[in-house]
Amino acid sequence: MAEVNYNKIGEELEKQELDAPNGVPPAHVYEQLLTIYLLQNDLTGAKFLWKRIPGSAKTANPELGQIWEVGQHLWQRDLPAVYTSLNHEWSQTVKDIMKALHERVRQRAVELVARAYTSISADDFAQLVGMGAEAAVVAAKSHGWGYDEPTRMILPIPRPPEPHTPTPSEEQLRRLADYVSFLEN
Amino acid sequence: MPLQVQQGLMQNNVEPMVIDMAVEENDNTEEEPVIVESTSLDLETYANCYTGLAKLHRLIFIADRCPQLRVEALRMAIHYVQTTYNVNLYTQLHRKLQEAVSGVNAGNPSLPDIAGGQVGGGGMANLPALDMQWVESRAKKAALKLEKLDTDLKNSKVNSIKESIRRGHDDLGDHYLDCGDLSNALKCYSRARDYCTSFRHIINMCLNVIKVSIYLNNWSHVLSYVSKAQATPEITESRSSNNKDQSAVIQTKLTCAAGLAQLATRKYKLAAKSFLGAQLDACDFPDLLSTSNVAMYGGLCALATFSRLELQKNVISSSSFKLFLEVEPQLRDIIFKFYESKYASCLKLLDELKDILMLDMYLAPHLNILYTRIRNRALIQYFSPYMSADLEKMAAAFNTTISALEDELMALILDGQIQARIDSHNKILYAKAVEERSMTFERSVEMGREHIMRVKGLILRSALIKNQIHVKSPPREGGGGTGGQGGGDVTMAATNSSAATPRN
Amino acid sequence: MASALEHFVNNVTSLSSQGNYSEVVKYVSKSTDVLSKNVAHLDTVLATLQPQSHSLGVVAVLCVRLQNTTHTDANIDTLHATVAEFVNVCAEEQIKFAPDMMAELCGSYADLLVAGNCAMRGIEVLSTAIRKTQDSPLHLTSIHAHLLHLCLMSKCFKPALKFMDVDIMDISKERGNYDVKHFLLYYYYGGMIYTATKSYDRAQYFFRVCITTPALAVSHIMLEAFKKYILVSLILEGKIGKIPKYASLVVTRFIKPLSQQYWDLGTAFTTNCPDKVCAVINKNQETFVRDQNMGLVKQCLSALYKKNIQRLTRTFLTLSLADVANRVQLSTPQEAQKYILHMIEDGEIHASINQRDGMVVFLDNPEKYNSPTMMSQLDKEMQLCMEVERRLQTMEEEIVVNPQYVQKVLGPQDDEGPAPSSAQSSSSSSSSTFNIVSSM
Repeated sequence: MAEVNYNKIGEELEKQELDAPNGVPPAHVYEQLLTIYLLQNDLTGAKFLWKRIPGSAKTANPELGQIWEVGQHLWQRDLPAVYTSLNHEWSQTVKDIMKALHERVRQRAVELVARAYTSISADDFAQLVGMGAEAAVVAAKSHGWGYDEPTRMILPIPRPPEPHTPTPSEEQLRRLADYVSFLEN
Repeated sequence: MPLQVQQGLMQNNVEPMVIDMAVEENDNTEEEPVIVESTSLDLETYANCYTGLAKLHRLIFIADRCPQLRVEALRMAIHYVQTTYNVNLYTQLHRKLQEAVSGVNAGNPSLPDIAGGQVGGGGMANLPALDMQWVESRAKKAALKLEKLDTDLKNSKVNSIKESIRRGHDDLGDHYLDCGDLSNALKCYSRARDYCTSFRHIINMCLNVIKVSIYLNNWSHVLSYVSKAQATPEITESRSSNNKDQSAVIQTKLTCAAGLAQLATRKYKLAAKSFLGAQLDACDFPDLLSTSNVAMYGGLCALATFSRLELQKNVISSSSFKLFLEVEPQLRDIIFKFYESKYASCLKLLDELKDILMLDMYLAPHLNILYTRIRNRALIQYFSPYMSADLEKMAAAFNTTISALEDELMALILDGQIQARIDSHNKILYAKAVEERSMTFERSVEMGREHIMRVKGLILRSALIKNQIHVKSPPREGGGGTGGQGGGDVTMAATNSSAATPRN
Repeated sequence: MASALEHFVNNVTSLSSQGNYSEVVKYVSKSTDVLSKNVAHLDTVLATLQPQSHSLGVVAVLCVRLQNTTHTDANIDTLHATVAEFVNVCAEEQIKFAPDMMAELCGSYADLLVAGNCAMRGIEVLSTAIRKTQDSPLHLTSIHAHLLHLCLMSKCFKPALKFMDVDIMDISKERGNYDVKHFLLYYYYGGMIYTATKSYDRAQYFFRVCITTPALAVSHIMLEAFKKYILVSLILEGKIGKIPKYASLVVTRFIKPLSQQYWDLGTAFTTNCPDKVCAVINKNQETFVRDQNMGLVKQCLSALYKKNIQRLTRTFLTLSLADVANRVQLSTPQEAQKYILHMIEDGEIHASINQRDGMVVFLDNPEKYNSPTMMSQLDKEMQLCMEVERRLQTMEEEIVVNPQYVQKVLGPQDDEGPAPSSAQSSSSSSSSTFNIVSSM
């Protein structure tokens, strides 16, 4: 639900930016749009937004720079640095989006680890999810993953593929008939 | 009639041929000459296998590639060249020898023992000195002979005795060849064509042209004359037993010439087949190749290109080629070891031969390719019956380390020659079949996408053509050109703004 | 003087009210001189005319007005606002009669914005202008190129992507005033925007269209596009992209030699050896920097490491991280792990890392082409194919019934006209028949 919301807000903000007289919208538009791009993992979008924000707006709103710092670390895929830069007292303008971003980054990290590792050291995992080692082990166990105490290795289990939504077979048949008639002509 | 038509064609051939030759020479110069430091080659025996230019060319090649044998080879070549009218080569060889001797003395003072045996000390005295007197008298004799032959030919022409004219051309060709003037020799031999009155004459003419073309490294010419000769009826129908022997000699000579040309043009499988068609007792043409050459060229090309079955059928159980293998017992061992899958010893024997083979002027440029192919074939064959193979054992079987083996296998897998994957953790090679179904899907989806892109591109293009939109030449008078020039201005703006291209 | 303008206003008003728009176009085109001579009074004229009912008159006046001003003009802001307002409210049915004037207006407007460093302001305006001017969403107008230029300058790409994602099928004639420059620029700028947003396959397509534009002379735009085409192809496919056979001779004869450094880079790339690629990059650094392609060139290098890792996945089931680093010439196992992790994340390889043993296990593509998701994807591809095929068919039908074409085919037999069969067959023949039709 939340995602749909932010996508919509994002579109609104984009429009505000384009419609702004002189091409420069109020600072909060930039701040929120930048954060939402990060949330959507649209890093090129964020990068070019940062580049087109006028210097005056950047100096007037130091928070913009702090948001982009998060973006830069995301761009470099330096997750530990992302968590450090996220750990900040955000203004009301972006506070909620930042919280969602934090959650999303962690979630993506967990999914990636499940996909990419059959074993990973507890410390490395802790770095990737931005937690203390003990908390990370607990989190791993909560996903049903294995943990080998003596070697301090977490053994992730890949997520099963998503169940498919079957298409109605009549529709399918109709299309197949279409193809055949197309191919024969 | 048909003869004349062909003759016309052939005369046309003479000129472009020279160009062909130049091209092929360029090809050869691409590979770097490998210097063979030491070898167990017995030069004396080796040189005795050849006559004429074959002997000289081979000795010069060895002199160029092998410092150890340089002086000796040149000395032998000089000795031999004095039996011919090739005065130019004589002086050339002397210059080379001079360089070699001073090079050895000046360049390698620390290695007196190598030179010492042949050159150092009293050795110098054994070296033939440049005999200017011989050069002069020889050149004079050659000129006299040329004049005589020329007159003879003219007389024959006046009397229009076809056979004499043909012989006259041939004699003149022989003389030019003796003098080392290859292009004139080729012209004379070719002209004899006009006066051929029997199939035998035609074949004789072809053989002459082939020989000179081989000396000139003009391989396309060689191949075309081989097929010309082979198409002549005489060669296939031999009437008397005497003729039969004669015919076998010609057949063998032709097939070996073809094999040589195919080897030189990297058609190794064809070369193997050609050499395998040779008959040992008919193999007598020291002015081109030795029997051991035929065995070696044929055997190596066969190993590099034949499947196991082909090898068994065409080489191992070939009664005629078996005799060739007796000439080169080491090669025979190599082929049998290969067939028996004893790759380690097979490859080891091959390695031992390498130095000597590297001094073979026709084989040297191809040896590394042939060796790699043989090795790859061995690797493929080794693995073919298995679902999985232990890399450690495999490395031992191929005289190599595991990591080097992994490299070789990687190249073969990427090339699609082995369908397998390496388990580097457990050091095992697993056979892996390609999943046809997924591959088909993958390919068709990709083709579909490409097709859409192409069609869209074409639709757009036809829209351009329909609207007559294209880049025009800028008008000559400076002005505001629309296409090229105007475009240039805008491009500057474009590149300035290309700061937008991503950095990361 | 003033009376001339009054005359102009009166004529435009009366002709427009009669709805005789082609007459209006004729009239205003002839009046350019009058307008240019009275630049000082044009603002008054603008105030008199109604942008909505007298769109053709206003567009002509605005064109002249913009041509006679600079971005430092004191009233520039008002002028920008006037243009924006005009584009917003102008009557589409009138504008369709003078797409070339609209394009001219947009061009001058865009140039002023770029010069004034406020390209962002024009993006919405030009988007609207395109929608009002083009015959269909599949038609390319000159305004497209101006819009892309603004987007590039302001680094705001999304509005451009909305247009670029629709594949162009035809070109607005703009009363014969469409210039090839705009075509080349659209595909060049477009390629750059797609490159910036990392949609390399689209970028490659755009650059390819640009470099295969029929050409009798070397265009600098094509040359720059060619360089970027090589780089993007290396990133995307690991080799220099094919140059379609129908590309003009100038491409192979002049443009290729002019971009030799890029060609060298491509050759080095195919050896799969990072050292060789680095050597070429270092040697030609100056050229790459001058061409503003250094960023892309660096991405090529990174793409080479990825390509080499992908080659490993085809040959190995398992490999230690140290060996991976070794084989692809990365400095440490950690760096190799980083590359692999990123490639897994981006779906470029299928693998799993086993930290306990320091190994990577390379897996097969899990896609087995047996899921409903794949089914629907194939479905989409199929639909796309059918769509373009149908389009081709329509084009052919158009040609077959074209009177000129029929005349040509059925005409005197000794003519070098095309065989009748060529009309019924594939894509290439239809483009060649077009050629014949258009050349008549």
